[in-house]
Amino acid sequence: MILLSEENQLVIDKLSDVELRFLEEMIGYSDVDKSDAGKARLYANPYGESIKYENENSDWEEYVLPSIENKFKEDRDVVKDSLKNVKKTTNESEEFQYKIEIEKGEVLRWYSVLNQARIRLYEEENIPDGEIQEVLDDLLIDTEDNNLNTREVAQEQLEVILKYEMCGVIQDWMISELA
Amino acid sequence: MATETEILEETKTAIAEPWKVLLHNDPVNLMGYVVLMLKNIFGYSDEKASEIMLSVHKNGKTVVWSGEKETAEFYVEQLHSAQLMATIENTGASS
Repeated sequence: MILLSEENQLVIDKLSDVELRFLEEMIGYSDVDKSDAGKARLYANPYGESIKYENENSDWEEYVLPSIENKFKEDRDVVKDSLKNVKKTTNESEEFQYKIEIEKGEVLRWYSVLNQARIRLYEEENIPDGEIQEVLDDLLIDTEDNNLNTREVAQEQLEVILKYEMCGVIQDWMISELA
Repeated sequence: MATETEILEETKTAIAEPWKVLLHNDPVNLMGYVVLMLKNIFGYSDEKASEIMLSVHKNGKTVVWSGEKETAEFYVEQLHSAQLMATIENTGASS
């Protein structure tokens, strides 16, 4: 995967089959409305539970929250639509052959969607905080374990962390281009 | 029974109490993004936004703005729309 900045767009180029699948799955996974843990994190009431803020809580639920939910959904819809325009090189022998072009005006939508996916993944899966190299090393060892169940669990967890990290790298790059 | 002077004093205190917008640390949002959003939403300088972000990271939460209720509500909505963890509170007796 190569990340390029052009005059009016950002380009995620030279994506492999696996990288494209990771990205597509994360975008599909970004719908936090399907996740209680994701909703609890993204739609948390900013006033807390205190009876003191009963009226404010009610206004938040009735007026503010729907507009936030709608914004996140719009972001997801736009990004899912733009995935239909993934370009593929004609050279079938190339390993890294996919390209995604993102207009600069839509970069924050992409960021939002990848973030929704990472938030949901963090809340639902066992994503380690901080330095992950040691965790990845342990998982890699487990993927070669003699026990089939251990191997499968390690492969699954490894893929989850790689998806999470890959999206984080893309988001970090997007922000550095916008700053 | 409270005197008229005492009631007026209490009312003034309640009105003057500012609403606080607090930003909370979270493990998912990237530091650069938090800085960018603080600049975009509050118009803070790069230096001030970075300082706030580091304070949130170190202390778990930080007051990022305080003042009138309506403005505080606007800011907290903007922060939530940016997927940042923010809360709002008023230390006064009533809203």
